[in-house]
Amino acid sequence: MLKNYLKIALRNLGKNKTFSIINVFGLSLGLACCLLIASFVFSELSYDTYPEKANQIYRVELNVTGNGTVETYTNVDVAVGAGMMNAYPEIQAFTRLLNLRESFVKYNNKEFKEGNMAVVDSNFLQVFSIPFISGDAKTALNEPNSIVITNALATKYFGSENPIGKQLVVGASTFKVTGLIDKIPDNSHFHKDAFISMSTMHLTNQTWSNVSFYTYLVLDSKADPKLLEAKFPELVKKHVVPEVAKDMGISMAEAQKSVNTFVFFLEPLTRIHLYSNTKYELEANGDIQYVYIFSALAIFILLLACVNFTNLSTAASAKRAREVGIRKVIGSEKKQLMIQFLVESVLLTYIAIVFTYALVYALVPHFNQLAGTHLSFGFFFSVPFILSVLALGLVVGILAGIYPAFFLSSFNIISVLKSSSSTSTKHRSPLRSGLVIFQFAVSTILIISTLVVYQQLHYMQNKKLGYDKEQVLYLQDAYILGSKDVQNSFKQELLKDSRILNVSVGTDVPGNPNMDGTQVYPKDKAANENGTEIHANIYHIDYDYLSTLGIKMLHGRNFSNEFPTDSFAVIINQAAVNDLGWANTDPIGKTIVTSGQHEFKVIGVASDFHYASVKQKIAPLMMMLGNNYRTGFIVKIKTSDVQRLLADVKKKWDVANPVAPFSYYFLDEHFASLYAAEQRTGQIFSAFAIIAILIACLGLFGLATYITQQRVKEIGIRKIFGATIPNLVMLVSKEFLKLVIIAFVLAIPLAWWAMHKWLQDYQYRIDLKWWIFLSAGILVMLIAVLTVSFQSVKAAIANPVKSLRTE
Amino acid sequence: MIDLKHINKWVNSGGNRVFLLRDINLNVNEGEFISIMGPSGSGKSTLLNVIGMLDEFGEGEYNFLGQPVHQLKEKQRSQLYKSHIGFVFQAYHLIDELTVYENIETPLLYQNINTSNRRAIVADILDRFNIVGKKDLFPPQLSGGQQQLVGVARALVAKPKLILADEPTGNLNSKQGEEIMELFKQLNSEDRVTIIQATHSERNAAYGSKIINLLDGRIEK
Repeated sequence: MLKNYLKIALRNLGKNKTFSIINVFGLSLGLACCLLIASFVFSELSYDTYPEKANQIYRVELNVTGNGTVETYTNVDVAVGAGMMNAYPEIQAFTRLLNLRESFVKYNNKEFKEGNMAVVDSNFLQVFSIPFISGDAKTALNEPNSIVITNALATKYFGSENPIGKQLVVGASTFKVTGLIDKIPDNSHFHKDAFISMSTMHLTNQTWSNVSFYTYLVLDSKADPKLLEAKFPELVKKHVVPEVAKDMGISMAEAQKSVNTFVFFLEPLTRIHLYSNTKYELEANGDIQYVYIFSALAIFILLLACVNFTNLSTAASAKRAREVGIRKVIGSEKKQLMIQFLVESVLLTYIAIVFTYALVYALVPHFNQLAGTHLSFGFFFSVPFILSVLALGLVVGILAGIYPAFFLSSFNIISVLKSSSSTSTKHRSPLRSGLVIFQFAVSTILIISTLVVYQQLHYMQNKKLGYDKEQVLYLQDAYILGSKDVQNSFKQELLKDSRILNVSVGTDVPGNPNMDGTQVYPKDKAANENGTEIHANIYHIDYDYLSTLGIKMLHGRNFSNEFPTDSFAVIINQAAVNDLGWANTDPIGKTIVTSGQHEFKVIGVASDFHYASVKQKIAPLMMMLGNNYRTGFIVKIKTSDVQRLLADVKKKWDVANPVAPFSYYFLDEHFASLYAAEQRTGQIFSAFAIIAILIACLGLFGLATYITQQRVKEIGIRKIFGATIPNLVMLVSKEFLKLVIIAFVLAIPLAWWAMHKWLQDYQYRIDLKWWIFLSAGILVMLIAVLTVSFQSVKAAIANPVKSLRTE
Repeated sequence: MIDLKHINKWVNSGGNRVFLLRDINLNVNEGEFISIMGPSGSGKSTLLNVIGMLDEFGEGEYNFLGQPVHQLKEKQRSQLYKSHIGFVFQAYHLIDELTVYENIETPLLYQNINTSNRRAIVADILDRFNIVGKKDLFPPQLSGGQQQLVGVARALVAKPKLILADEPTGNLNSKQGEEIMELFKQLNSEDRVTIIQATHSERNAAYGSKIINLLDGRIEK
């Protein structure tokens, strides 16, 4: 019986080529999207599951409440890990990772800048089950000045030589390579190239109240992290309170009060990638929201393709009606007919799956680029994946075919067989209309979303930042030039060039996420007064910084050589003024106390500028003279020939120090790179929007084909009685356009709601303007008109004699 | 075999009952060959459909082989006609996507007859109808007469006791028509298959052993 079903299914598919091609193409596209997204989702969900004890590993994190807002630190102080382990037996082990600043690494005459190195405890790689290629995993990081490196790094420095035992110079110290690993797995929340032994650091301070060590605990398999977390406040009382009291010069009681906001907690390792999203992550993490959004998109696109099958099958039902009647007369039961039609839709889906694999093969590289994933085509051939795909094919086939099967098998024998020519079924069907509306509503929502995402991106990239990012060159690694005198004379050399307007040499440049920060409070208010202690970021700048970047002063003055006391002075931004509670008083001359009881006098207030991503609210900032920290030159230029200027600057750099590597970037380009995530979201949305509208139009095209076929006689008669071609085109197109318009009306509130929600993540965001919606609507409408008019024009210009003669 | 008592069938049109069949009383014994005659719209097809259990009726009793059809559920009725009745249509109603062989085989598939038996039965009937050479052709490749031959073969393949034929020669020329009628006659006399046919043509009607005239849904006496 099944053989018979398959045979007739194949013949029917072969006979109705338009129908089959539209469906196979639509389904393959839908399935390809679905598979790609599924693999993306699997890979996101697989993050940090690779360590043997992944489910027992937790990262210690810290919530600090200040000024009503909670700041979450994903790193804690040096003593926390050991302190916790000593206090609680359910902790089997702890291990820490400390980020290393960018440093130059040298082997013989090879020197590169490495920004991806870390200092770790000796058990770190074992806790994360990172296999060693060579070296002893147990002891490699025991000794000071040991380093374990990845294969890639080894090849970079040592070529094909055995790296074990070689000496690498990092910064000013020499390290011995004691281990070689392949690489940190792709699905890890950190990817370091080199691990330096913690013993190198000679850590003597056992403090609890700062942050910088990413600390992981391995719990007993039976331990309850919630119960453990509940015991942490006693550690805060024991260790943090006395420390804060001493640091800030306050009584124990006052200190207790001020650290009540210190809450240590445990983040499960496997949740870090998708759920943890603070400023202090080791790498930009994923976001569970996007996993949900993408999964929803995949399902919707697949549904769109299923809708095509349903719509075209029912629209073409007239063709099948006679067969249904005959089969019933010669003894088929309804159930058997339904199975027959389902076999057909499932078969079609399996044919589509073959094309899906071809599509996936072609799309994987693009998708990887688009979604920032590392999928390989081989992944799609793993046995469990193929089995899931086959199961999915069955589900999709049944989903697409169930309604047509039900619809077709319910035909009444008598009415179907009565007329000798095939009966024409109604060309209007509420379900079909509903499904077309669904397709176009989804497409419209996707198009609106795409437009909004790009608008927001454009907005962020062009927002007035409060400083001038155009034509600003940043020369990295000022310190490498040599002594401060060499740096200063290089600066003077630069200024001799008329194309260079200004040069500042300092530590911090807008757009760089690494900066210092500290807890501070205003001296005119007691430290323990609620909400007066705030977190402020610190910029170390020089006299020319504000003028080079064009940052405006609101009150007071810039740093000046004429005031020797300026090394204890600070310029704060407006956000700091507000948060310190000085909005209604004159902040100039007031004093800020930082942790460690250092006092700084406010000499100026700068207007707020976006020194971090526009996504974040501008946080309080303290700028102080930082003559000892010099990481780069900020060079304001004015030229149309940037390349030539660059060459000249390099020449001067080489004169100042012939061996120091010259590296630079432009501030505006760097700034644009901060929005890679939005760029990516925008691209993904537009890709999906295009696919969705393509699938919807395929279906619409098919529907229009069938329906104009059914109405060909009506069109012929109308034409004979004087209808013009535009009349006729309108007649046929009108019905579809009505559906598209309804879809548009339905899409607006949904899209508005979704995008409104998405925009909430952005501190500075666009307003949802009416024209975004309207232009999406017009775009969809145009596409639909084009799709339908192909068929309607064809029918309208046909010679009516032909269509009437056949009757 | 067939016993119709006071069968009425109507449709409602604008508040009025329009009778399609009116007080039909008919008794058909096994082995009879009955021709139903009457002008277009007289209810010939409706009566055949009622007898074939494809259509329902409003009032009356219908006993088929001793079973009260008017009391059976839809499923039992379709089981009944599936196993005892074969249909032949004016428009042949073959499935265009199936070959001659497959068209004839399909009723057997629905009766869950196993492959080797099916093969034997279909081969037998192809042979008998002299269409072995056409078995792999599709219906549109055949002439009308040949298509109707396949239609009759398909109706017979499940060995029904009764064949209902609605204008079986309506789309055929007179020679082809005659062949089909001869075939019916032969089936009736040799195989003792009961046949009820609806027809316009006096000549074809004459093949039957009994003629019933229908006018406006009534049997004319």
